Amino acid sequence: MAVTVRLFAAARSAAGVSETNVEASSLGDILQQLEADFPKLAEVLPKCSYLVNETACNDKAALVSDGSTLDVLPPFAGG
Amino acid sequence: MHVSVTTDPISVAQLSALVQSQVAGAVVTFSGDVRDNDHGRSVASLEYEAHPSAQGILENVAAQIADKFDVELLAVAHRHGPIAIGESALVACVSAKHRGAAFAACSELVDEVKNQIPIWKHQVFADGTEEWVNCA
Repeated sequence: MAVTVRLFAAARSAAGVSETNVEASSLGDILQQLEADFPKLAEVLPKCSYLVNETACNDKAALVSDGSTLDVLPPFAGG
Repeated sequence: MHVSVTTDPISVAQLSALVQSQVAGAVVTFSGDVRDNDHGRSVASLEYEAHPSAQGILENVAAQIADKFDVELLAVAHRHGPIAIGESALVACVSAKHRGAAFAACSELVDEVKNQIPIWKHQVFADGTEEWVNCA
């Protein structure tokens, strides 16, 4: 399954890119692939929450369909 | 109800004027301003980044507060992009018939915005180091 990953804030800084593509079928698989591709993300991903196609998804076993977009959201710091 | 996520400077006076009403005896305004220090370190510059969903989330938070409290009018704005020291990053204004509801609603509005809005803060310190706040 091809998934587009959008990286924000600290996740983008750690990876050095704002967007990337991975081949994976579950949220957990995607995160493993991201850590393999961008080792510095290993420090940030455990703190992040996720959106799959704009809906919150934090179940690592959740399956992700082909063509989905995953947003990686580090802890918020508004205000 | 005025709700905005914007890169433009926010005027506390303009936002406060939006909630004034002849039926409201109390107007509470809050301005969250950019500080020149954090945890005892000198901050040189600061930039906020907003997720594309931030406007919609802020609208939901404002609606929650308007439903929960007996308020007349509510206005809230969050700025993103680079913001100079001393300028407002978050401004919340609430009017109500009496001060109790206005204070309570404004306080919870600010708390919930900080909890829920998908906005990030990057600060550069005077010594040249930098960090993403809450993610260091």
